Amino acid sequence: MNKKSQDNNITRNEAIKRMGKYAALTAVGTFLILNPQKAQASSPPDPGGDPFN
Amino acid sequence: MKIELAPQHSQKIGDNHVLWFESSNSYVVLSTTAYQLLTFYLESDDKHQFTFALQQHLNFTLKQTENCFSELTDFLMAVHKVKSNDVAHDNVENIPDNLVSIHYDFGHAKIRIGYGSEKLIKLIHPYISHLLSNDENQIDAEFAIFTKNGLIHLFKNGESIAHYDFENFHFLQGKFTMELVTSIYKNTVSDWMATFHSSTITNGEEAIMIIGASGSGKSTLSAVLMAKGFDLLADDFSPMLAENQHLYRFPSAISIKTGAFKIIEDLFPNFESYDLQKSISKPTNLKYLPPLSSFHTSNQHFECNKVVLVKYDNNAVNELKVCPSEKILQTLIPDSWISPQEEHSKLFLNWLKNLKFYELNYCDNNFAVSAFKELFKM
Repeated sequence: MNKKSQDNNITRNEAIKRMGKYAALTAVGTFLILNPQKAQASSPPDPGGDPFN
Repeated sequence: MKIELAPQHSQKIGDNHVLWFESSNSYVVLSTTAYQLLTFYLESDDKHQFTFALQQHLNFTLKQTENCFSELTDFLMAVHKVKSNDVAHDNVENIPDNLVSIHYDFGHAKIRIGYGSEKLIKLIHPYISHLLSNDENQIDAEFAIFTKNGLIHLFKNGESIAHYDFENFHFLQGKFTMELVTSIYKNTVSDWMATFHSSTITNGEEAIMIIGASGSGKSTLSAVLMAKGFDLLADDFSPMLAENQHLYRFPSAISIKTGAFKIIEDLFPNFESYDLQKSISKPTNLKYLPPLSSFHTSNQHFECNKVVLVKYDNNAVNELKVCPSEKILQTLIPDSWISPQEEHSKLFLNWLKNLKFYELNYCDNNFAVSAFKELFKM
């Protein structure tokens, strides 16, 4: 659970860093980089909800 | 600057431009001004020419042009970077012989699934238990799902299809569903343009796709709409064929969480007697509501020109409104698998071009039902 929380924090921090990284471009309007899933997926489990644990 | 840095495909969607970069399979949504900056960058011979263009045409200061130049350089490096595939590796060649076999009838496709454990049965079977078959003679496709060496393995007709670690079970389930879809429709994975993380309903003439963040009420809304006479084409996993860009029927049951039991019991009188299952992946109990329409006799595919971002909230003000494309794309793209084939990406952008985007916020299911009636009339 702790590991997952840390992972989530890293992701959030990375997201904030990324937004800051392109500050001049986001200042002129929408600027989004979106990546689809690498493979077909069903709904992911809730955070901490690994079905095999 | 460098033509090879340009996106492979570009499409104007509403007020934005959506670009696609093949090496990273990234979609980039840009406002008109941001798109103009990128165009200046790509068309300029060097940094000096770019700086001059921005100062002349957009009244940028020198500092702003410097920042834009370095950010566009970084951005183009990022979207041209090939992403690694961090898949767990294992070589399991043999299917264990102690699997529990269950047979299903998907109309033209009779399927046998061998499960390696009770837990795997509990995770997969409830979604398709309404298609249970007693006919064990005809088998069009045979799946095996089992755990070995700390991984979950998926085999189809004796061949290994995929394996994932336990945390990525939702990818295994997605891959299994995709393979099941190819068996049902007698084609291959490369025939499909995308599988959207959405529910899809139809009025028998067209389909409307329902998207939303986890917990936004998609499944409950799908059940409510089904009870009110709409046909549920797919829940949670909506496959789109490249050939016609139609969404196809996948007859999965809707998983309903405890919090929505009361609403569904009022609409489906037998729901109270359905088996209660403890969710293995979420801290809640579940019941599985099968689609009302018969998979064998219903139309299999529909055109879809409308997508609705839904959000249920007890305190929401009921409203249906047109939604900016970037808000829809921000949910739709990262939640879905879109085939990385160049021609499929082009088809996807072309489909987006004609798509109408809506947002539905509601606290009242009756309002949501009326909203969908309106949407089908538009």
